Amino acid sequence: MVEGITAVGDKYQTGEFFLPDLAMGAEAFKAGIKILEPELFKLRKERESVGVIVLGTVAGDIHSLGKDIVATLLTAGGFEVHDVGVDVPIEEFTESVRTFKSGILGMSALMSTTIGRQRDVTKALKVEGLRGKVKVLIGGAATSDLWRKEIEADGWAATAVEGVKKAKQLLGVE
Amino acid sequence: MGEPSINVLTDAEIELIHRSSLDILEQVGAYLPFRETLDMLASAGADVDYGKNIATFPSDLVEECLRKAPSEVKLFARNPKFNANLGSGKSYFAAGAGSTLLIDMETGECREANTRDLVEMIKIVDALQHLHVNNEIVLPRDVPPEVSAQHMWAALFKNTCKNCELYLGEPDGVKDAIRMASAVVGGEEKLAKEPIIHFVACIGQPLTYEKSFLEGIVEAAKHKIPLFLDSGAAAGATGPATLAGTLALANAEILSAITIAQLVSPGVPVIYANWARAFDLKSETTSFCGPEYALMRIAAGQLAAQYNVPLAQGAFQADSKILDLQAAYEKYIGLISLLAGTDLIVGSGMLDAASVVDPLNFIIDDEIAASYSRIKKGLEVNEETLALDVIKSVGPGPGHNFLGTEHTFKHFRKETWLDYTIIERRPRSIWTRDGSKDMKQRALDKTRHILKTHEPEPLAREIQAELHQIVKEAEARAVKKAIQ
Repeated sequence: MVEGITAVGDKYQTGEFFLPDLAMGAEAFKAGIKILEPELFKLRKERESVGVIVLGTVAGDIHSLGKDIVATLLTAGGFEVHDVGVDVPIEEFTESVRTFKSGILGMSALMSTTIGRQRDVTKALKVEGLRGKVKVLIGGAATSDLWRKEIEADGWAATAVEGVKKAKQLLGVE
Repeated sequence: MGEPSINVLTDAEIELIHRSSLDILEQVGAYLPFRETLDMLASAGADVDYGKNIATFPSDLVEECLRKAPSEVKLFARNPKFNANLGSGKSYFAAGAGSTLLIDMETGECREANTRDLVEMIKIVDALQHLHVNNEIVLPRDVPPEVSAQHMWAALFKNTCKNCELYLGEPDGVKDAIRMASAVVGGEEKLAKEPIIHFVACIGQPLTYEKSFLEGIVEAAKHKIPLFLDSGAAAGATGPATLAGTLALANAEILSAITIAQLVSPGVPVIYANWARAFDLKSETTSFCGPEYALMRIAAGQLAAQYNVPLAQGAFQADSKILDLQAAYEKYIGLISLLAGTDLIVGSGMLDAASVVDPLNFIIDDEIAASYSRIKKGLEVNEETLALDVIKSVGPGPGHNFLGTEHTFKHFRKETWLDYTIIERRPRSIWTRDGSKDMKQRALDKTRHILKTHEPEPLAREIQAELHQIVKEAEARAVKKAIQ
């Protein structure tokens, strides 16, 4: 199954596959995991992963498409992905980072009016004493590398494919 | 399914132009300096003035011959993937021809071309997926002009698996071309059944034929090679200043050529190639893409549809000297020709009123042709495409979208044009990372890649030797003629 979703991810990166192919692959993967999960739990085996990532779109922003693509590609790339959805409040981000012991927090913001929340969440991580334990990766149409520097995030990606690359770099697995 | 189309003439106006063309042929006639053609027309009922070499055509004869012309003309290719079925409703695209200069892709200089340049142009066209017809793209100056045609044809047959458009010249040349094409396909009979060539026969203005044309047409029609019958009457110079008058004249010229071709060989495939245009009295040149040119493409489309014969028209032929914004704008003629129902859209690669070829232009035209093919397919409206069930199942709400649905998966590849190669739509940051290249630079990258990697389907050694032999014989003939 992992091989399958990885192949889909690879073909997407080379331009042979398109988003709907990727989405179909992700659906099939999720459906498979649902069946296998109880067995995996019984065996007390966890999926081997290259890292844990919490992913979501910031409060006030309901754009999900780009974030969903990143989630699929990260899954294909071997990450354990916890997608916390869209319009995510600050506390839910920090709480999820703590619960899942995630190495990366990925935040999407599509509008110039919502990118400020990325700064708010990064600050909140500091206050909660989590900033040293988690890398912050940002993306979305309204963001830029300049903005990343300004809010002192660790990584910025313009596309989903780059997002996966950055995530791997941040964890030192590539 | 609604196919996009465009009209400029009413039914009554189409009939008026048609009648006017018939009147021109009946009352004015054509200058035909070849005894055999005059005899043939006389025995078919035409009035012939042998002293002036002028024959007038009875309307009944013209209309009868028009009915004999097939409504579909299949242009075959060495690789059947590139067969073009003109008259099937699909539009095909062809490389332009006859330029005398070339823009050097490495230096940008506009210069004369040699055989090596010609071969490169043929290879580029051979590699492009949306161009179905290859051509005598540029005149090579390193071979004697008397036999440059034979050299161009040998280069074409060796370097392309697509149908080749050849210019109809004197009968010995036509025989050479037919011998070469026969060698490639395996015999004259096979060639008559599956012609991998077609001949462009240009009618002179006004209503003026050359002897070689009339001799050549006999030779070509005998072998059932499709004839691309072309009039380029230019309003204000080789036609009346009024567009309607020039259209009627060009139409009369093509109808006279169709009549002659059908009399020589009934049922011979013909392509109605209307190049009627306007002479620009300001620059004193002929425009290949002005607004009048656009209007005439639409009108010609309506005439050809009325006659039920395949239509070829020039498009993509910019007046601009270089591949710039003017050239890009002037390519709109391609879209007009497409919407006018043109079966074969000719002229890709050409600049400066078809006198200069720029190899990068082929790459860009190929891309445009691909997008036009999508337009031509139109949009389908039915229960499945309206997708109400899918819209219901996705429903409103944040985070909902259609990306992951089976319906999207099933339809997206054929609904959306995705096989573009040099159009840039990616995020700016990615474009910047890859060198911020403009379209010309991207076309240059692709051209270099094609020339480095594309190997045309090779011809057997014996066939290549035969082509070489035919060129040698033509050269010997030319030398003999020069001595005489």
